[in-house]
Amino acid sequence: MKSLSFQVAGLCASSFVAMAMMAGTAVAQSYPETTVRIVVPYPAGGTADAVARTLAGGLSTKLGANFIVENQGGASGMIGTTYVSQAAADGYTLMLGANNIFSILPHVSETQVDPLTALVPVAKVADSQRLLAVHPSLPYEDIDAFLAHIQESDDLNYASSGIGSTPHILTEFFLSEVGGEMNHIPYPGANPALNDVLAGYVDVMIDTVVIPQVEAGALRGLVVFGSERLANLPDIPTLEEAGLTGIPASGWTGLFAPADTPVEIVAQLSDAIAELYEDEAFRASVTNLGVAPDFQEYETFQQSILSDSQMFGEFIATLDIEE
Amino acid sequence: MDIGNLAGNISLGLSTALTASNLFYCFIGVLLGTVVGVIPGIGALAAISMLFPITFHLDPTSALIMLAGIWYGTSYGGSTASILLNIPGTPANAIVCLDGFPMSQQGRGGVALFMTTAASFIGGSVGIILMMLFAPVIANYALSFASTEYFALMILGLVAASTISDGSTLKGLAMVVFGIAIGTVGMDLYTGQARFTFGVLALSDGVNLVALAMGLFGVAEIIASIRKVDTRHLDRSTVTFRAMKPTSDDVQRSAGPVARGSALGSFFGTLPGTGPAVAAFLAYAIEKRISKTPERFGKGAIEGIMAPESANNAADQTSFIPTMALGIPGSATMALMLGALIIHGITPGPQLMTQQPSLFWGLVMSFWIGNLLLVVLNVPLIGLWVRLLLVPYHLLYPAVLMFIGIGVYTVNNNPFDIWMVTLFGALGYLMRLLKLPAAPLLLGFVLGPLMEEHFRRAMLVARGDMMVFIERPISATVLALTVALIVWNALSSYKRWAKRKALAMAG
Repeated sequence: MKSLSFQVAGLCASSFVAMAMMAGTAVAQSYPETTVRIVVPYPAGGTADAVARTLAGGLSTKLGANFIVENQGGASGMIGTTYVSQAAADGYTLMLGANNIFSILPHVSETQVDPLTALVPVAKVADSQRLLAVHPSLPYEDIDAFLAHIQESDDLNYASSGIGSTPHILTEFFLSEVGGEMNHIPYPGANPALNDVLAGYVDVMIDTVVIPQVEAGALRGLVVFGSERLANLPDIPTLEEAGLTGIPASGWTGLFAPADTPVEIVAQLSDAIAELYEDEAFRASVTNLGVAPDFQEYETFQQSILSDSQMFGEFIATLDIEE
Repeated sequence: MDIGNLAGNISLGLSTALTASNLFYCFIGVLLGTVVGVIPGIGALAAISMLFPITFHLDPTSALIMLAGIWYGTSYGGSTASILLNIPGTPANAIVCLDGFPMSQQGRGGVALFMTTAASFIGGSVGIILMMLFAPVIANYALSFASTEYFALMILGLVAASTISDGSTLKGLAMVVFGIAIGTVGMDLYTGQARFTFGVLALSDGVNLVALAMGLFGVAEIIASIRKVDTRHLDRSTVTFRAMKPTSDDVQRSAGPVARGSALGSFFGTLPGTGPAVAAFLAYAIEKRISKTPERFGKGAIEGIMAPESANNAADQTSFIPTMALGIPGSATMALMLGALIIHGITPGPQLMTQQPSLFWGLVMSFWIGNLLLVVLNVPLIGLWVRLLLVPYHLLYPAVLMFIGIGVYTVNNNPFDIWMVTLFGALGYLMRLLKLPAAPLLLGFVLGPLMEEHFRRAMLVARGDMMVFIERPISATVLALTVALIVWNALSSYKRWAKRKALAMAG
């Protein structure tokens, strides 16, 4: 009897799978029929934009339709996010966005749409690599000496790409975990901030843009905000190696679609990206952009976004950021 | 400077820049740059944003050469519409309207176009030479300008430029303040607080400079000319080749402004966050200030077009210095240039010049080729552009209006900016009726937010200690200059007043 019920269950299950697969193929045959737009909610020329263009190139070849990139910058990504959330949920408008839109902005300002409900994740594509760097005129040769100083004194300033930017919140998170203090100096973007850190006008910066400066010896890198050391800077420890746990490693970039996009299309795109990431050459082209390729299919990604948002939300509630 | 090294670099650069494909992309870049420069509203940022996706499929050096060509080509073309139509091609050319358009009304439009091409070439050349000889030194020097120095410079700029327009000083100052007020719109950098955005998300990054400049100068000019359609008669002799020939007086008057404009432009180009528009405005202001006959300004003084045009071209070239030598883009357009490298896996940073010498020197040498091509392109085109004036306004202006719309939209791909340009057009027309000058408003809008940003940052870094402004040598010097200027102003207006009084007494 046992075997029979198993057989029945098995039969049912396999027929469901077959039906699901048929449904899948039916959609796969019809999607994508025409050009797919990937909206990047930042101005052209940045890293997210480069990732989007690389991904668009890969998806165009893989799925046989034209994937194009459209930039809709402004309001830290909220203009593009609002736009995509109001677009037709047919899989022909997608968005490549970064973590700050989902896990930070809703907690620091009143947003017109809730990105967590207005969009659905398609796949995680990359992790940002960030480094804590100090001006070389400062006496701290390693992270321990630096920690010892900021735990005792609040005379150092750190630069960030703005209030509510990922580097700002990451730095505050870091400071609260290690029990240190620094003065926040916000800038309109990472580049002007980097400029003043290079000049020694501001002392510290945790960002992606400092990496080439550390490689060139213009800044001193102390600790990597990430799970792995950087290929070109193998001597700098990660947070965990430095004994600092509980600090979110860095930020991520992922592909999203409007909330009601059919799950078949989301799954098809997610699978296509998974296949792209099996190709070493494609992974290398993503690595070259200065990010760590990291794939997560849509369901896993959804979970990590939610826990990320909750963690940042709880932390931001403890900060004194004006609404 | 190692001369042998420089010669080697030049030949390396030439061998890169002179390949058939790079020559082709350089030509395409400068041609497009000139055209989008001439077309009001579509500037370098819009054009480069539109062409950026193509660079994905190009060799990185070719891509950069083409984008750079658009960037400095725009400044050559940008003054054309300012001079002929009183509608600036780009915000950096808005100030050229003040004297360029009167020149063309006096039948000297051809002269103005020819001379601004020369000014552009000289300004550009100064910038390129500086970049070839001293790029790393200048980049490091520019780093010594921190927020205290920027703040001092912005104060000096505002004081020096407060009398940029003719007529009532009070109206001019009021417009500067109004410009500063418009500049405060958007999210406050230091608190994240939304200021004057009225809940409009598109305003959270502030008012779009292109929309403001094109509305106040371009759309307002079009509205104002509706009433004078068909009443215009053009002297056909002003559109011939002979009419391009400057007089020896023109050339003599231009030498000083071009030299000062090039120097000022080169300086501001290297400071991230300022750039060609600030340089052009201040170059004009300085010429007017040091002129023995400031009353000629605004009525077709050739100094008033030569200084800003040499300044914005010099700034165009030197803004590549921090971008290439440090890997830090100073503006949105420069970020796009580096984006064209990032997309090919080249990480911009301080090692770019040493690790990619053929890219750096190829780009620098392409500047020479591009600037020469621009002169060759622009001089014959002057006749054609001037002939544009023969097109009836009722055909020309709707087209111009459409291009302004396209240009404003393309900066952010946001339809809201079209509403903004319309609103500022109406405001600009109203200001004309009330004889309120538009140039000081634009100046306040450009300098005001920079002044606030840097003042507050200087205070944050110094933890509220006001003494930093006089403790740091560069900012102390600049502030001392500002005080001297104010005292000199007060004294000279007192003298004028005393003289007038004496005359009145005598009479």
